[in-house]
Amino acid sequence: MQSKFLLHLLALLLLVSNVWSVSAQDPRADAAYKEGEATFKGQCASCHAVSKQVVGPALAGIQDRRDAAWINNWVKNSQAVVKSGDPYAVELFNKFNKSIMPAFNLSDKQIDNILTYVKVEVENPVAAAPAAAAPAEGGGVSNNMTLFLAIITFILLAVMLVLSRVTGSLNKLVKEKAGQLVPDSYSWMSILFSKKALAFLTLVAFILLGYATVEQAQSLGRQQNYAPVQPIKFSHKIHAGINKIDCQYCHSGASKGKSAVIPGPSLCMNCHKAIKEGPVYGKEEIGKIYAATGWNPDSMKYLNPPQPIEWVRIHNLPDHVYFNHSQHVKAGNVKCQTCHGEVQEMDLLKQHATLGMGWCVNCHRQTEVNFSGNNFYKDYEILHDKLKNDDISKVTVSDIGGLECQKCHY
Amino acid sequence: MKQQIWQGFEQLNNENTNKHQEFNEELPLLGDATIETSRRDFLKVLGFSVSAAAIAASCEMPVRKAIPYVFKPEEIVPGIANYYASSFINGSDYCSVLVKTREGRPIKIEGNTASGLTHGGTSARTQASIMSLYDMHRLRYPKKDGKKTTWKIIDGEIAGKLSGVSGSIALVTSSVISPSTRAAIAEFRNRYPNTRHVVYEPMSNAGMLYANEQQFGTKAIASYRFDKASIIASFGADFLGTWVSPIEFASQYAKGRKVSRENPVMSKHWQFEGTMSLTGANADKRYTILPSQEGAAVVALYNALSGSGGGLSDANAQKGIEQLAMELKANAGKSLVVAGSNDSNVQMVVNAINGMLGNYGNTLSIERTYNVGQGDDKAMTALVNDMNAGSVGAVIFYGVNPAYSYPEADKFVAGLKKVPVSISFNDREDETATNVKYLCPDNHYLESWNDAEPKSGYYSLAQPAIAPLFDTRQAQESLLTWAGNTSNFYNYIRAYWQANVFGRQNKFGSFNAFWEAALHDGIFETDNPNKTKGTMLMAGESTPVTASSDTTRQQVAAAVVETVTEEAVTPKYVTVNAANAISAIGAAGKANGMELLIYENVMMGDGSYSANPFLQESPEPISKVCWDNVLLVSPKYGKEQGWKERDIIEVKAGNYKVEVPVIFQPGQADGSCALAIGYGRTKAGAKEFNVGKNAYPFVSTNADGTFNYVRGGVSLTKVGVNYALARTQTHSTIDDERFIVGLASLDTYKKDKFAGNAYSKEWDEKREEGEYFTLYGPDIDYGPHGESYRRGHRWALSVDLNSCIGCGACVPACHIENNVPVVGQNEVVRVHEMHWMRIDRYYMGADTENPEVVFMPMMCQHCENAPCENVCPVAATNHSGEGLNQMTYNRCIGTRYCANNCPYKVRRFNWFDYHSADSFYKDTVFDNDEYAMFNDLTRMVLNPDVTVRSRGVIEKCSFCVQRIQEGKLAAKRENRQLKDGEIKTACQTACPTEAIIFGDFNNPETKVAKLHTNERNYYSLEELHVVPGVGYMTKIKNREERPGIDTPTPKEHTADAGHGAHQQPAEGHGAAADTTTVHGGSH
Repeated sequence: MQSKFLLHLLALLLLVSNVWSVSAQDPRADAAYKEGEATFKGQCASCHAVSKQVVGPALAGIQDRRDAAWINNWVKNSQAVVKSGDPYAVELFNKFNKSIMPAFNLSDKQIDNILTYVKVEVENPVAAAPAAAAPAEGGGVSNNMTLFLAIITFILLAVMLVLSRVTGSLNKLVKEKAGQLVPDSYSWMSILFSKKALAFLTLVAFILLGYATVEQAQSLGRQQNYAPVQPIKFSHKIHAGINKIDCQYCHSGASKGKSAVIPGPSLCMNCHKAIKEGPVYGKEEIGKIYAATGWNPDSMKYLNPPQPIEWVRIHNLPDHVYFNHSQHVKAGNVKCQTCHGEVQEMDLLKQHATLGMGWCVNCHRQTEVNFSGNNFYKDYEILHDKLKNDDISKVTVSDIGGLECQKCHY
Repeated sequence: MKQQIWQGFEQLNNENTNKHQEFNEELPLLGDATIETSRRDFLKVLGFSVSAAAIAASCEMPVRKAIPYVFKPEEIVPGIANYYASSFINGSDYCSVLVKTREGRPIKIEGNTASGLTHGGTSARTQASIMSLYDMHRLRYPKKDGKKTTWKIIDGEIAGKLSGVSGSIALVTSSVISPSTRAAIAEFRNRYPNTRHVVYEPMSNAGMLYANEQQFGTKAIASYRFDKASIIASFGADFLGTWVSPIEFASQYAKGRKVSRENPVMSKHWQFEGTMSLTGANADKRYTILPSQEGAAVVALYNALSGSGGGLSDANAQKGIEQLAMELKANAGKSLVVAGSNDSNVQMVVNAINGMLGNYGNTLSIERTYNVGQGDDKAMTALVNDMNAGSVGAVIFYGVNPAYSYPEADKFVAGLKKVPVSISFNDREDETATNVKYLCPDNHYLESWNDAEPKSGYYSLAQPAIAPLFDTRQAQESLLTWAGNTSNFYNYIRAYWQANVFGRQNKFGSFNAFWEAALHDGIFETDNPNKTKGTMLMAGESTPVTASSDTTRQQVAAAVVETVTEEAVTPKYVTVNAANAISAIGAAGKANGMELLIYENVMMGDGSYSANPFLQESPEPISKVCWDNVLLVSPKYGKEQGWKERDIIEVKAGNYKVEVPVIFQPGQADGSCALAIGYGRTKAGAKEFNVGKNAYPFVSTNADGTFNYVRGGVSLTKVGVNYALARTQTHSTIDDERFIVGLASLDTYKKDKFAGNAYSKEWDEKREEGEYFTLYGPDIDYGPHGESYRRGHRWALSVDLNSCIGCGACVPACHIENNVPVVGQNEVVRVHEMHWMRIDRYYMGADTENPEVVFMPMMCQHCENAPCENVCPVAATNHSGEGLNQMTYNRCIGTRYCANNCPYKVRRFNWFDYHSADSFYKDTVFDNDEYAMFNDLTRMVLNPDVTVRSRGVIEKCSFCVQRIQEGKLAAKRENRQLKDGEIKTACQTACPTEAIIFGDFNNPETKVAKLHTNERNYYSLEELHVVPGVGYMTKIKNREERPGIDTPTPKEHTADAGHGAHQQPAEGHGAAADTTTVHGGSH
């Protein structure tokens, strides 16, 4: 069994190192490429793609079409080039419905890096080779491991029990041989049904059941790990994790007010006008945004009546609880992940915390307030004096009323 | 001498008639049916609940949806309120407002501080108007002959019929204060030249119009400046409650009443009237005269001023008139005389008096006039006659309901039936609309574009805060459509402003910039009544009002409108001839027999607010009756007749009679009675709103053609007893033995800064010596002694009793801000009303016929030593480090111990599920859901930041904790300290007189901290040492000292009759909770 496990481990290591060695020879490892990729994704990708036309033309082969000086001029101020009467520029401008490419404040080096990126992308198309099987294998290993340990534990316990019985019997025999009077041994059953044992067991049962009851009662209406299927297979991992989109780009209310705000599909369209296909589900899921907004991707216009998306709400607080995102995000500087978990790694979003009152209160007890950093707290003179005199080392939320009922209930 | 203070006759006579044993009540678990609970039943119920709990526990959580905007409007961030400047307009009621919207739906009305008229003040009607948007009984589509139709069909038919009409077309409207609407009406009249525009107001001011027309050639009401007047004399004009422009006047009036040690000057207010009005209750000197004698009293004043003989037969009133005349003469150019009478003769004499006193151009102006109160009684009477004669071919009703409010409603309806084409813009199928052919429902004002010019030069704009909820159309657009103009009303207003208003300023060069600024501020005010370029006086430089920043709700710098000059006033004497008027008044004489005064109620108005649950449930300020109108008679008359309060009286005059409950109203003139209009609707909406009896048919006509609201020869007969009256005042009586109201005369205050407040001083001294009585042990770690209360903020409120006029705007404001439910008439009768704040009305003095009145807003006092907190078995109510007495609904198990132990009686118990907050639907007290807030439409008004409470929990004033938290958070986000005045409670923003100030007590620089340390500050029931967070400023009246009414010094008090209750509370009346409660089951 063990050898099989080791075999698995070896195979996995081999696989990983293989991938490693492949990437070492990859032109994509080049620093110029990486910088170019970052700049391209950050500044160009909303209008350009490498090999297809989006708002602006596809960039593949651009170095064959124009020289570097022209490209530099164009990127830095396209309108100046158009106004200078450059025939290619004028033609390009007219071809793309006179949509103006804004002037970009990029250095020649940066533009060069972008071109490197484009070139590499064209020459080395990404192979569609998902290595999705590997993690599943890994998961299997760890499951096997747990089972294995459990069985070992069980066997060891059984051995211990048998051995203790054996030593008990032997002891008894030795003592009897020595002529000592040995009282009749208690049978297992008599021990089990003795008054003391029963009382003890009842107590244990009561405590366990009571604990379970309280736990269950408290969890009524709580939905930790709730991960419903959503109308659109939206992945936070792709958006917040891989593409590193800031949480508050979409959840823009988090620093402003009560609600973090689920973005409307019109906000999705900022990027998805250009990004028409997703890496996993292709056009299908992104098509749902187009359906919701009434966007026609062919004519690039909103033609159909909009249709709101009914997301399934994951984080639900009871009506008698007041919660304000901006209090925590802006005033308290709490990271989103503190309450929502590692969202950037979730394909399907789930509720990370219990959202129970005990959970809130614990955090309010432990969290230190930015007491000297925020001018609001200047009014708390007594606490400032205490801090100065080292009477207290820090001010927590609970010190300024964070545990009071009407902090959250009104 | 002991201070006499009482709230009602039950208390004065020590009767228990209205005492309600709230704490003996069964919980209404099984409805009204009482079931004997046997052991078997108990087990059944137990079994059921266990299995129900098991089922509930095994149920899956419901799936909740979150649906974001597809295209989110740029200005909306979900969870953050937006404020839009707009104007509340309903006939002659006007208020410049900010509309608070959340996710695109209006949820609250705030006053617009940029307005030079209302200065951020509001009225109860303005506050409650939000609910009329979500009225279940609004018409949802146009109708023809009672059947649903479309606007296209309606437009096609009406345009044809109006062109071919034989006879005249009558357009009957309320006062039109919108200049663009007037232009639209003019356009309509151009298209149909046979149109006559009749302005009809059921509570008419036509007398003033006719008087000013005759004497000045201006058919309008003059503008008044109560803040500039040192002497104010009112003859039956309720200018703080209902007369002409009450919000504006309240604001002006309060300015003249803010008194301090540095500036111990205040106006002196004289009132001569027949019934106790809100204004009369605030007067320094009040005289009771018969309603029909108002004219005679005005003439007597005229004579006293002019030196000619002839006065009132009532010697006491005559003495008052003579003294008033002397003071008026001494304050020439700085005084103001007004009268409420609708008789043009009386108004002409009033004009003559103001002319003699040199007040024109100083405290009132005929150059700058009101556009409100344009009702023309003669035109309306003529129209009804013409309709009956068959000479009217078409009639259009816009915001009027004559089938209910016209004195001869039967005659009107008969005439209406003879008109071939009848059209109504009314928002519901009311009494008039059910009799017309075409119903073309108008939008609600919060769904409309509109403008207003309530007073010349004071423009304001109204913008929609929500798209129309139903298939309704603005009345102006209907008129324009029928006139052949296809412009929408927004463009129409813009065009009007470009042509007529833009030129009256020179600050903005482009119209667009001007329009944007005016729309943003909601107002445009100019001192130039002519249409030439004048000085621009506009709130253009003020901070933004409508933007979505967090500080939007904060003070907007007040627009400079008219600066009050400090220099000496030059009287401008105007000779006004009133000889004919005087002889006409003399000829009219006194009414015969019992007089009935028909008056307008501060809450209910002319009846157009009948379907508003918030207004119905807000108690009338004086009688404290809600959901009903009552006959008011003088206590003397009532006793002579052997009646008791709540007896049912038949009131009969001519052919009309009604049966109404009676109450004895102190201050009602003997020989007269009074009945409010606005009740007795038959088609207001849900049957619950058809309360009270209609008083309009008692209205008669004066010799000059105006409506006469005084009816002589009325017979009163008792026909029943014990009417179940919803009257809130005596529900929470605070014992008269205790120090409740601090009251002193101005003269005494000038001599002694602790006048009226010696108790507080005494208790302060005792406290400093450590000698005080406390119910709950020594205050070791409470109140000002506890460190935790000094750490950060400590919230406190200050109420200036001198500024509070008792108008009750704060009551619906509090309701709406805090999702406080309306419980309905039957529940108020059972003392189940839910008001978080109430205005206690106290009568002062032994004179039951004409006592002085003090209003005292009462809400949770947020005691540091709170008696409620230490009796709660589950700690559901406790104290926060910021001085708030917190109420945690989800912890409350409903023992009501706290309510029992509260000396102020401010805690309310949810006897039913008034909002359907439970999952068990319709487990409520209501027969239907028409006026409760639990259907999809009415729930839209709820404030999403405040929990909706379910049955079985206590609730009470929270100092608007949601606003405190919001304000603190805004400051934290912006990395700054809180500013004083940044956080305002809902009652504070609603108040037209700035009587309520909220702030941080721990910061000595705040207004509230300064007020709390002012020598006029005292705490209610201070001797209990509950250390309240609400301070009251003593009431100062500008009159001579009055022992028995003014608060004596404690030494006098104890020496007088040995009332030592506050010193030895364990004896006699017992502990505080006992003596101060009427609810208390422990009696």
